[in-house]
Amino acid sequence: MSRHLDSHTIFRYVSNRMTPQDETSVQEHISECSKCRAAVEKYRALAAGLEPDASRVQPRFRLICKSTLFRVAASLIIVGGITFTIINTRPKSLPIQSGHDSGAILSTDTYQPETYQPGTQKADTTSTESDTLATAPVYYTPEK
Amino acid sequence: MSEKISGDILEWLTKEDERFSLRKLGLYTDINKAVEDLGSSAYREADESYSEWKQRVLAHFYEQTGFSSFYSQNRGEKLFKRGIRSLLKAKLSDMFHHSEQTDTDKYIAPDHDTISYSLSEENFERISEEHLSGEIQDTLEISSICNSALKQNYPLAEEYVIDHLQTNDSFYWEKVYLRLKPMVEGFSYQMSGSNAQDQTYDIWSDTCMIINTAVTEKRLSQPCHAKDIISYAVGIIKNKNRELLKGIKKGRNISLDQVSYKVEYSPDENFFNREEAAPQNFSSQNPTVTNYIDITDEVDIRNHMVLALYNEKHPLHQALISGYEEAVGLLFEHYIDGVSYDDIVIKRMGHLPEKEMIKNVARVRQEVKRVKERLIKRFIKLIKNDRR
Ligand SMILES: [Zn+2]
Repeated sequence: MSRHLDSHTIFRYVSNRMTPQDETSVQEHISECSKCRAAVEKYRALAAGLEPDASRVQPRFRLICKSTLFRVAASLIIVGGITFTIINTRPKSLPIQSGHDSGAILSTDTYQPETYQPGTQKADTTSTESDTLATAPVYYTPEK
Repeated sequence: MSEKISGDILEWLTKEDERFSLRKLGLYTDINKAVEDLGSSAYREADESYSEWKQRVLAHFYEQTGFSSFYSQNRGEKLFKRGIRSLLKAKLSDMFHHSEQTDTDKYIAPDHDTISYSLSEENFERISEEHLSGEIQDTLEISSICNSALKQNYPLAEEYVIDHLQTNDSFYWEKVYLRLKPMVEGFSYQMSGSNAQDQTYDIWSDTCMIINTAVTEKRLSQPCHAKDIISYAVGIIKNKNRELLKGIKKGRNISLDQVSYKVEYSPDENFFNREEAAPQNFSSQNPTVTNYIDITDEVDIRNHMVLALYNEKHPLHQALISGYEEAVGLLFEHYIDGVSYDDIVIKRMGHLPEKEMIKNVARVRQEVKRVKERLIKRFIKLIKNDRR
């Protein structure tokens, strides 16, 4: 990995969306590149700062339940969000099985925003940085 | 141990902890001490590659900390399972991007997404039970077991997916519905010139219900294939659009013969991947980040918000911080640059009398706290508006 890490690569690295092999490539890069190492650390520091009640030691479950984010998300999902979820992700009145509903709506694991081409089926992970942010969010460069 | 070596090892362990929550679950208490305890085994040997060095040191670390018994105690923990799930998903994503497109994905997976390499909760539990319930020495072994488990089970056979659709498994149906959305918009745009969201939404919704009923009640010819499902859907979408044309667009001189799709039951291959069928202003074709956020997952929401906040070029960055620029500046200064609240006040207002100082520090602290809450609320709102 020779080029600097972009923020989407850092996001993928920090939020566990990379294979261990790719993680090692990132680690080998930041071992030599203080700029990227600092960027990773900054990203982590921000993420930690935004953790709900990060400094307080509590059982994880209670921590999550007490967090503002959880309360906001839960109230949105439970009260208004039922409508929202249905409207936004699922056609009206569909038969939904109860057991497999949560988290199934969206996939977070295969999204490759930088490689989007209208009308194509599959992202090309070999694409590199582009400056066409105006038409598509280009901010992620997978580096192998 | 040199600073460089301990820095590298600290990063490896931080990453391992990020994935598997090792510290929270009690494998160790102090990460710096864990690095120190590695002693001379931490040094890189002359003929070792970076990757080999990392693997050897991690193996030693896990042996030293007794990972094997830690694993047997914690493998059922929610936090630990989250780590395994993320590992499997990352590997599946990698497999997806390095494989030929399957017929299942070609016909019924949403653009840029996959059904053949997707991980349902059912499959996750099955893989965990069948492959990861024995004795395991370290995370390298977990990774290698995951590799072979995925090789055995993926890509999912078309038959398997169809079976699950027939039994109305919403995990797979959600993906099919997402696939149909831009198709509906494409047809509506071409057939009736309409991209009115209400109309396309209704057609999409009706199509989904009809196709769901047809598949679950096995009304399509058996054995059913992914191609049959999409063919049937195309027929429905076209008929719906004809109805739309007859009704709403009455009086407009549009010949259906001009429409490039001649399909009733078998799909026009050209439809797939036609650029004009996917104009960029179709909401469901826009590669919005938010469509990929799992709204039911607090951690996923926060991860994406951090990215939006951190990356100035992120499509939601401006909307997220607009009006809060000053407070976000404080947030960055405190969390990213590590400046204390006291120093922030001194930097802005100089040295103040003690009472004034206390008052202003409290104000800054409150402002940072408030902006965190506001950002989260706003981000959820942005997701809501952005997802259609
Ligand atoms: Zn770099």
